[in-house]
Amino acid sequence: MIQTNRRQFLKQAAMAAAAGALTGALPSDFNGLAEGADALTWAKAPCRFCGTGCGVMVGVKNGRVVAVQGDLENPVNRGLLCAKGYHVGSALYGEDRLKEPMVRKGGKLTPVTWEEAIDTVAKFIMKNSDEFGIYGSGQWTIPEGYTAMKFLKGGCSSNHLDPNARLCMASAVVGMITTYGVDEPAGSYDDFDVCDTVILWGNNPAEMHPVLWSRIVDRRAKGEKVEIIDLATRRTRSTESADHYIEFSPQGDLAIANGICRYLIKSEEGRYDREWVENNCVFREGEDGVGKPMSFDDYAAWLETYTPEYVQKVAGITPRELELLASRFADPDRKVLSLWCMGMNQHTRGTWINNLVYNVHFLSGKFGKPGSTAFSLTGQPSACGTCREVGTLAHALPGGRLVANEIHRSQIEATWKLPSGRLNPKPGFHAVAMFDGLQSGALKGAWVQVTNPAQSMPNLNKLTNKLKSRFLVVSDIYPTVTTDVASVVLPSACWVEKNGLFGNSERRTQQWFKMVEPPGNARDDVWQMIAVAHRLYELGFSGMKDKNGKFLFTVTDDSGKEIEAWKWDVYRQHNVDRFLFEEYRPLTHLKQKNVAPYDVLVKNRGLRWPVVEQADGTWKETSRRFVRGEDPFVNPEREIDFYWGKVEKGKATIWARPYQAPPEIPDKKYPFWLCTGRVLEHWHTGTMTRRVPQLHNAMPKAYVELHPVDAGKSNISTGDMVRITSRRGTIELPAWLNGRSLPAKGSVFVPFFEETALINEVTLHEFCPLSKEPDYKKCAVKIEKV
Amino acid sequence: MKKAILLGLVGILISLSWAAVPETSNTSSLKAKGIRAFEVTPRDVNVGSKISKSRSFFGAPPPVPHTIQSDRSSDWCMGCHALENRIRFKHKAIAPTPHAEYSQCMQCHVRSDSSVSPWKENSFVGLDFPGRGSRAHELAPPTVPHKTFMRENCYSCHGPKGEHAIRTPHKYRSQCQQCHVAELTQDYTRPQIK
Repeated sequence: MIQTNRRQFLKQAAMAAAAGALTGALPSDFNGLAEGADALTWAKAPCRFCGTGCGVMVGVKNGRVVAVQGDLENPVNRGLLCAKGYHVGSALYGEDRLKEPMVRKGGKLTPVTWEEAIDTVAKFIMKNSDEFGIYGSGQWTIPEGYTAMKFLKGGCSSNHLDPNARLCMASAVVGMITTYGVDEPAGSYDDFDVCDTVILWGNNPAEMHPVLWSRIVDRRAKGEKVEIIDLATRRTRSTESADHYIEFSPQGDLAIANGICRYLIKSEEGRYDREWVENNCVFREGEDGVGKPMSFDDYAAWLETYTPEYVQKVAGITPRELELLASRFADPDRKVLSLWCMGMNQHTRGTWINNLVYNVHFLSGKFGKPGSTAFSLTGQPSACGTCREVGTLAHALPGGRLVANEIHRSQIEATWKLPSGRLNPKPGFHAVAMFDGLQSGALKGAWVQVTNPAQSMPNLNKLTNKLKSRFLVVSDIYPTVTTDVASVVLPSACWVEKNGLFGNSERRTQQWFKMVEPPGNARDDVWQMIAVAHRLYELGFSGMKDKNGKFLFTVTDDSGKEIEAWKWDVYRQHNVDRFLFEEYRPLTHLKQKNVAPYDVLVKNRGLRWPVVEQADGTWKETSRRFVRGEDPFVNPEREIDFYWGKVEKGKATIWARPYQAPPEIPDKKYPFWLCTGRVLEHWHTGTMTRRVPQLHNAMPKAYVELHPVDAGKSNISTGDMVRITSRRGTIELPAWLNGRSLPAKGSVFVPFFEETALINEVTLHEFCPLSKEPDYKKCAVKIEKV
Repeated sequence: MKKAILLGLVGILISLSWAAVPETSNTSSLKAKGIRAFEVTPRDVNVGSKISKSRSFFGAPPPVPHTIQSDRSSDWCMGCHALENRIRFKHKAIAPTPHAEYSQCMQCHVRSDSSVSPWKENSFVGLDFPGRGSRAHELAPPTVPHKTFMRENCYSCHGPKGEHAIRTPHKYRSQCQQCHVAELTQDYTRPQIK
């Protein structure tokens, strides 16, 4: 079957190349392909935007994307998309697409040839390879992240590689690793279809993950009962569909989770699942990732602090509200789903609150059963597939390996044919440290791909104001505030202008083929890195040679013949993605994250790992990990098997993590909380979505939301300009009252998409000490009417 | 939910000053089908912008061409766009939703304000309307030249006052797909039979 598919694939690639229209290849399961370049053709791809991973059908005519529809066959979204998804095609066609490489000469970015740009970058790295970082994101495709990892860790023996995902997912990752020893969620979207109660932990999926939200809420239209409890610091569109809204004080989530645990164990009405806990859990206390052992009785005694009265004091929720939450977990027949995203992750105790939510689900035994799980949503299309699975992090190697682990290093050295000892055992700079390093000069330069740190880093005045004096290489598709300070700008291909693979929130790896040509001289990010690596190889840089003296990125075509992939004309005629993915694929087996083969993914609308070949030659995906009968790697003697359990094999950890006050609390001088976030229409820093007329029309400008009572005290009404000032910076924005959301009294909200109104000049420069993820959700500000 | 819709209706009643339409042949036929019809007088509602103008491509969710009651809740949308509330606004019909099973309207249909100038120019050219379906012969019913997923209610676009599509010349017939069959080759969302 695969063989046939390969043949079709090659045939079509040849056909397309002959027609001069396309160079990649097109999927074989859609007819109408051979009807000529002016025919409308449809092909599958995952959406370019969030981590939901909706399947889209991309309509292409005359070499251009002309329409986008939800893919009915994709089990993630079943034909539905959100406003961003429907307009993802338009995101390619902003008039100011970067089309030529540019190098800063005499202070000005000047168009140059690709050869000159590649040479400039290579010569800088040649001299400064130890003081050079790579900063990417979860928008990297899997092969792109893998290439960046191999380039820097394998080629430069440097670990200064980190992604924007550090600002987004790191707390979820460290939460999972400290809880059950291995990254990524146990459940899947299947649980959304059968749960009885959904608890939103500081989460607004109605705007951030709209299609998943519809998947839950629209069950009601079918007559099903779904209870939604919105635990939040502001009323949002999600609140509108919620049965209960519980407003808590920022950071109070830590106390609330512990309060629920106390209720389950201690109160008369409470009930904890003793059998589940005895079979599957161990207890630990401490502030770090290792901790000290603890008995159940010690844990129960430790919880004694979190009485309803104490929770009310620090979290601001009433004992009745706490009981409401806890009673859902105490009900043995109820299937409970917890959802969270940035609210819990961008938190100075992000790892702790992640641990605590697992505690609640473990104590109530609401884990690993259909409809009962704790599920971390992700913000970028391949934060899971690339940053977490490939491991483009300062401390990681592919497939859940660590740079500090000698065995892991030697495994990767073997795969990459590196001389022993090439990989550096010392973790490099994580995201915030990388930009600290660029400020201090500890790093002389960095290569930024697929992200926009001069807008997305916190406390911008302190973290990014010296970038212009460093050697910053930026690969992007549009001018951004980051390309503004770059020394070299490389124009990139985007989404269906290249082949790609993304991994979504539910472990689903999705593949797509190139469908249209990138504009002008824009080229694939993978090619850019291979070209620079080869220039370094030509210059005699020893890191770009493997142990046999061959080029580090030796790529072969399907017949096993070596190709000169560093030459664009050669690269574009081959599917280098497939080669890189197949090189990477065996590395996913160590931690049972077995991704499916490339050719199988071509045939499917994504598959959720672990994907294991069956006796009949088919490949079976996994809906729920660690569950007997679903996950093929579970010890058959156990019903639930946390096979990477850190303390005891098979068991997860329940952590005693205390409440801790936030690092900055409103006071007399700065009396308001500031929370930052996103809106439905714009994705991340808005560089793509703001160029889509329909989305820009709907949300043209950033704003500040205030509670009407607070606004009234300062005589502020909708449209008035408001100055927001923190200890770090100041910004002026128009006020919006009773608009899309309603912040709690004493707090304001600002979205971060607008590059001409950078709220991150105001945000806090503090991060979770375990995950190193900054807190964008709470700091103290004052507001004045301008 | 029901309560919210009710509140929404009341809100719209107050803000738009509704009045029941005098009986006409049109409305009586709607009434015969159990559909309530109203006429609305515009006050502060920004209407008149055509759906087709602001739509990115055929198949894209049309942006909302009028001001909205609440940016936070989609319940308001159903005050006018619910199936059972077919409303005549001057000479146009307010399209009832063709997919009532989806409740989060503003997830796809975002507000379009034509007074906003673009931040950067965009050269995207969207897929055009598919034109007419094919016919076996002059008297045969034309096929449906577009996908039908999320468009189960044909009257939403092809109703007697449909602005941007073929208006049914035989509005007394309600079982459209009994005669007008989907043209499978135009509909990638169906399994392809080779």
